[in-house]
Amino acid sequence: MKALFVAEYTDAKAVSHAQDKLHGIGVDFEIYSATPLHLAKAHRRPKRWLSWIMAASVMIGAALSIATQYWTAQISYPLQIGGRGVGWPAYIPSAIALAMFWGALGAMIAFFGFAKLPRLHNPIFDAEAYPRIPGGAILIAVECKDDNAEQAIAFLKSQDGLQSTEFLQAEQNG
Amino acid sequence: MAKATSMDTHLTTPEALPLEENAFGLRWWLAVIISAALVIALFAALFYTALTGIGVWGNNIPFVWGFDLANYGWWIGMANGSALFACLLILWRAPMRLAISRWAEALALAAAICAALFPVFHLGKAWLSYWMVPYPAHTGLWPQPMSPLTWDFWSIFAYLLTIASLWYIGLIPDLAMLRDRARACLKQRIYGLFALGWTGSSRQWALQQHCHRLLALSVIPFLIVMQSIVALELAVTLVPDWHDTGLPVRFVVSGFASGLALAYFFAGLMQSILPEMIDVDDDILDQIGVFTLGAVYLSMFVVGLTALLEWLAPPDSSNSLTEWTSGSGAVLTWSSLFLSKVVPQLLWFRKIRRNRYAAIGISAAIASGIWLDHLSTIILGLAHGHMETAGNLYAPSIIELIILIGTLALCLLIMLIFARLLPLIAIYAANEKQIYNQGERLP
Amino acid sequence: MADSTSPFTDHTPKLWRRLDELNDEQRNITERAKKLFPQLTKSMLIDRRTALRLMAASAALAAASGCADNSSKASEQRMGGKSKGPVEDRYTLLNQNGTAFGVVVRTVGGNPVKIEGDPDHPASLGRSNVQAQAALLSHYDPDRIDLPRLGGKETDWKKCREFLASFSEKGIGEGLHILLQPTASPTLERMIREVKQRLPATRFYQYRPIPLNNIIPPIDYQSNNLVISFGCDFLGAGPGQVRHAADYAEFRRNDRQESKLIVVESVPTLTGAQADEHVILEPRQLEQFIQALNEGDITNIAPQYRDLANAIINEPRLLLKGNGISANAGEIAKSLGAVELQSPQLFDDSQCADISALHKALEQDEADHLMILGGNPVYDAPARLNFAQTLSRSRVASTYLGSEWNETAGLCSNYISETPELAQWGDLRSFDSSVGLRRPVTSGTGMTAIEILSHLAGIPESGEMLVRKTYDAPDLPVEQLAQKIRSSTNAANNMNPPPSGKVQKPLGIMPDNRFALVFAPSPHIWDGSLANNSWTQELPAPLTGLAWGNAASIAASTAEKLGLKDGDEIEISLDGASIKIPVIQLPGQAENTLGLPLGYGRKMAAIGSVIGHGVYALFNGNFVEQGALVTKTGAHHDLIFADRFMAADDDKAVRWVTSETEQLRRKEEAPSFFDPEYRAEKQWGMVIDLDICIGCNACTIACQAENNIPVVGPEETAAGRAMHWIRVDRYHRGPAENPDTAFQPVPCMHCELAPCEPVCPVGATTHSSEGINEMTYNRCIGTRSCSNNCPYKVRRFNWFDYQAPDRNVGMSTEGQNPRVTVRDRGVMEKCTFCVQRIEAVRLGDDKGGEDGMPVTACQQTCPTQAIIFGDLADAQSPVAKARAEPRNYSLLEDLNLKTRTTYLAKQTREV
Repeated sequence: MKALFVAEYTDAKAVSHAQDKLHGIGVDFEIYSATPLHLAKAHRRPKRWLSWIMAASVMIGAALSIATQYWTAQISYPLQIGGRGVGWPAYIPSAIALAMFWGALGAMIAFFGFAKLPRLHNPIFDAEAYPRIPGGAILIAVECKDDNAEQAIAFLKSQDGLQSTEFLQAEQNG
Repeated sequence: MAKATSMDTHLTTPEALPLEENAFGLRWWLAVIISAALVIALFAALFYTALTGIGVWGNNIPFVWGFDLANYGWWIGMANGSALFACLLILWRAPMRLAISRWAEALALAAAICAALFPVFHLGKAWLSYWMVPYPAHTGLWPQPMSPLTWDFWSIFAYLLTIASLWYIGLIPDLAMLRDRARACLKQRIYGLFALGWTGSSRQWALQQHCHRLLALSVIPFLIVMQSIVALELAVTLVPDWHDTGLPVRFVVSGFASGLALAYFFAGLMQSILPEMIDVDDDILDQIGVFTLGAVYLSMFVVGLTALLEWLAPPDSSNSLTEWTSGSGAVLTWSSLFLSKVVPQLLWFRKIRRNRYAAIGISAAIASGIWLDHLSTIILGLAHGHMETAGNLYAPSIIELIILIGTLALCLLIMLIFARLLPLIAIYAANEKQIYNQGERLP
Repeated sequence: MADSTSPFTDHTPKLWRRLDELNDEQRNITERAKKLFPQLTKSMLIDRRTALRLMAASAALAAASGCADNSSKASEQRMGGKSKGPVEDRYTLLNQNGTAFGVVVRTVGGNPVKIEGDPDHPASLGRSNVQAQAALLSHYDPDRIDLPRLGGKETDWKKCREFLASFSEKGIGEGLHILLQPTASPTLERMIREVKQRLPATRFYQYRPIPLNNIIPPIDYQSNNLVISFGCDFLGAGPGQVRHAADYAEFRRNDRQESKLIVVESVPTLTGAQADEHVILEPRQLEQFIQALNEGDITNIAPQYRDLANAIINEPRLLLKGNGISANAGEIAKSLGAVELQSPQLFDDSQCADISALHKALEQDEADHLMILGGNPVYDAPARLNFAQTLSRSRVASTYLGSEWNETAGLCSNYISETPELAQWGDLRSFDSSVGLRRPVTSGTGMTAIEILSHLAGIPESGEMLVRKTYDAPDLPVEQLAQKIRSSTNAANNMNPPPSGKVQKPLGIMPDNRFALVFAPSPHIWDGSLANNSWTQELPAPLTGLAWGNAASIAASTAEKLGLKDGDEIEISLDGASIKIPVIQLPGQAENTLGLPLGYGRKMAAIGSVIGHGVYALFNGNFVEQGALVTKTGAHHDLIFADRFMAADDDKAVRWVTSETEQLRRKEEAPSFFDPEYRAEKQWGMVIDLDICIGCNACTIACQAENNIPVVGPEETAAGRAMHWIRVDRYHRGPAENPDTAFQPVPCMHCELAPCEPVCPVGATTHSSEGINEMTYNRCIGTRSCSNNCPYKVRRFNWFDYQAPDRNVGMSTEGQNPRVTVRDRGVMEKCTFCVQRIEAVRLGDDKGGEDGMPVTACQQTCPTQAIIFGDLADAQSPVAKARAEPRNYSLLEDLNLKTRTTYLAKQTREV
């Protein structure tokens, strides 16, 4: 059983300020908005991971592509093709294309993993303020699980530009 | 400093949302009906060819390829040019990206779909095209990896999926917005399904933005590889006029020119058909025009260099320069040069760049000039073999013309439907722009 | 549609005839469109094809119910879609222009599938010509009519026999006139005598457009190192071609530097192409040339030919005369006093009058019943007789015996279908006067001329018994009968040589604006009798490259003078008659002379209808005519070339050496990135000796028959889609007025570093361990990239389903080689080195050649044996030895593809 405290803002600057403060307090919180907010220092680690995973996928894709070409042409069903032996240079163009495809695929899957997508229902959808996000509302949701949360809620309530607040009782499965 | 943000600012421009029925008036319906009719003709022609034989085209020995490969190379070039444009906007975070990058991605995807029709339907046995896929067949046979056509299969396969991913990743937040705004339950569910439960959390935003850029990065090598492979299908052969390492470069840069011309064309066209739907103003037309002119100059440089090298080459090696400029097919060469190199010089004038009708006309000239370049490369090359000079004995059949026009209609139809169902511009980016305009850049 | 005033009204429900009329209507629309939208006319052609195909399919369906009981028809003996049953080789004789050509016919389950030359026959020596190969397709003619027609109504054979027998019962044959095609058959001669005995008032006539005695006997080169031909095209098409070519090749092969061939002619021929010295003169000049030789006074001769004239006068020589010179010139040449070969008389025509006598009889209404036994006089009778008009105006009843429903059949009241050639009994003399037995190699219904004559003579009997009686051997087994006939004394040997031709008026001086006409049988469809044979129609003529049509050949300078380009139509008028025909410029042709190929422009010949332009309207039996007027009509015809690769980019494609010692062969292999591995014991290769290739095209058609190669038809041929696996390229060297001519058969080169193989995305074309470049048809998906990368352009693509029943104008299913896959739409195909024959020898199903090695179809057919095939790994094999010759070279050697097919250079005589 966990609960969410949701605070609604419209001023991105206030949100930015709140974010710094909440980080200082040390609570689990999340900011929801209709546009990317370009918040400093946020989420650097998963972003770096995303890059590395993509780089690895590119390498794996290239290796796999070359290996597949070699195996099909030379091991599984060798044929005499125009007196040529192994056509290593000829394997390169497909390898480039497939490496890039694997890279894109890897990055996309990693993105889904880190962003916890797809997840068709999310507790935040139940927030009364949620439909106002496309209209420019920015929500800060704090997980109420320890004392720090109370401190955070107190801070948010005192912030300038606060539009509304609400508590969400999240379902176990939500 | 910061201006106060008004409480009721409605950031999302309703015109940009494809939900509003009234945005699609008679002109949209007319465009859809015409292009749909031509697309039906396209598929009729393709299936007629598949059922009757490639003989219904004008091909023969030695002209085993003609319109099919010319159209293919041309569409690949268009896809590449649009994709290059989209990727540069994304990677450089260019000021006009929000208006264009979404539909430039979609345009690249549509062009790639048009291109992908040709490698399948130009086959003598189109229904066996799946033999290019390495699947464990009962015969134990695999595709033959030394063939440029195998490379081609892989590259178009990878390219289609990659460009579709790029487009989709960029689209997810807007799908979520459509989901949130939808009133009808079914609509909400469908958009909701494709939005994958996007919440708009800062973590998701950060990852999505990063992933979008990474995908744009992964598309860049394709721009070289795709068109090079098309060129290599010709250049690796023993046909004297094709056997040229410069061919891939020429194809790549001419592809950029025609692809940017396609974007320019589309910008002008959409401004005429659906001005409300698309955030294209004269400044953007102006900027695309400059890009296009730049690509045309790049292409001019490469063509000029090729011609110079041919001219300096020992005269007995291959007379392709003479053949191309004064032979039986010289009219193709000269009209290609006129359309794709001379006409675009009009873009030097700012007033012309900013005129949507001029944009449509000039970009159509560039694209058709590049198309003629593809056609003449194939036909004039094949006309002059080692054993024979066949002369220009290839003439397209009406079926081939229908197929060419049909793919143009298919590209347009895809874009029209896209405009109806999904936002043509990235709404979140448009909102972001408004935020920037209202306030200062966030830390 | 059908023009009721024309004598060629539609008498028969034949598919092609009606469709052709449709074509005519369509053609006008196409012509109009062509002017407006030149790019789009191609597609209109295609649309027409589609319409035709649909109509053909529906017509076939409609006809299906009616032909169920025609089980005897060769084309309907379908055996589960493919010929099955025992393989048997059967010997018989083909009738080639009335003389014998010995063949061995391979039958599968009783159906002939391939014709090869009979090694023991003097005219074939085991090799064959275009006409012998084409006989196979004619056998499966789908337009053949099985039942006789009396008074225009189909009837049965019993009624037909009764009808014929009624003549012998009616009296002495008054009013019965019989026109026959002279045929070198002792039994035919006997039957004429029998009829004369029974019905003494019967009158016999004979006609054949290309006379039977228009052939020289085999040449003895032993004592003749200098051979001079005055317009004698002994290497050209005809029943003697194979033997002459074989003898000639032997003569040249043994003694190239000593032997010399001089050809004097006006219109180039295959013989002229082989000449060491080629004298090209207008017929009038040619006459003067011979006159000057005759008088020993060379001052009147053009300077460039004076040395030659001296040589002809002073050296011992063998003189050959032919149809290429005027009859008058021939008479003059007689007194040159050279060794001269006389044509033998192969048919005793003492009982038969000329066709002009028949014409007179018809004009004077002397005839009650005219019987035309074979031939097609309505089409090809001398123009001055206007035979078609005479026959249709005359009230005479007429009966026609023929193998096809043609112009003559259309004008005759009764039609008797002739037994298919491969099902006939008979006997025939070969052009060297030896006799042989014709025996059926398959079944077929119909009657033959001798059977009809036997009915008229009141002694109705089968063909077999008639032949047996001629040789007085009623019970001998067939083999012994054949033996007996072969060794029988031949009456023809004792015959006198034929009377010399009538002396024509001397040519004298011709006004400048007049033209000479030189007629010649078409190299492929001959006198027109093979017009309904799509193999021969689609075969490009050796010197012009024309397929599906003909054109008047003309010197380039004359064409320029008249402002003519290839395909421009001219009107030729001679003695009140005129024809329209397009022209084609021909290198090495005399000025002010037109070469006119006979045989085209048939009006009722199924597939051959309205193909090409008829020239019989100007033909009166003289092969050279003078004084024709030529005017340009302004119309243009698109000439159809089966092969459009006219300009040679590679000037080393055909090479000439001046002596045997000149080394063309590369001593070392060129460096390469790749080293193909040879895994098998046998390594196949082919060497083609260009020095003795005479360009006869027999290899192309033999390959077509062996490998089930489809016929694509005129539109598709014009579109550049002919399917021949081995083409014969023609090259010229030297001035256009009198160039050297070389022929180069181009099959697949089977490159060891085959460029076609790596570009195939699905591995449908690969290399065998024995060095053959193989096509896997059922793996091919039709990307056509292999053809792009083939520098020799020997690959052929199935643009349509050319073998589908509704569009197949080539071989029907049961005549196809059961050992060769029939390719379907959308796949590439090409020469396989006859891999099916290689495998058959390996499996012991075939014995192969003399050394037990497989023999390819082109090799077996080649009259000069210029094609050598075998195992390159065996240094003692003929092919390995030929490859080691200094004259050996590869086509496009600079590409370093390591071809398995190589060529031996042409040799020129050292001066």
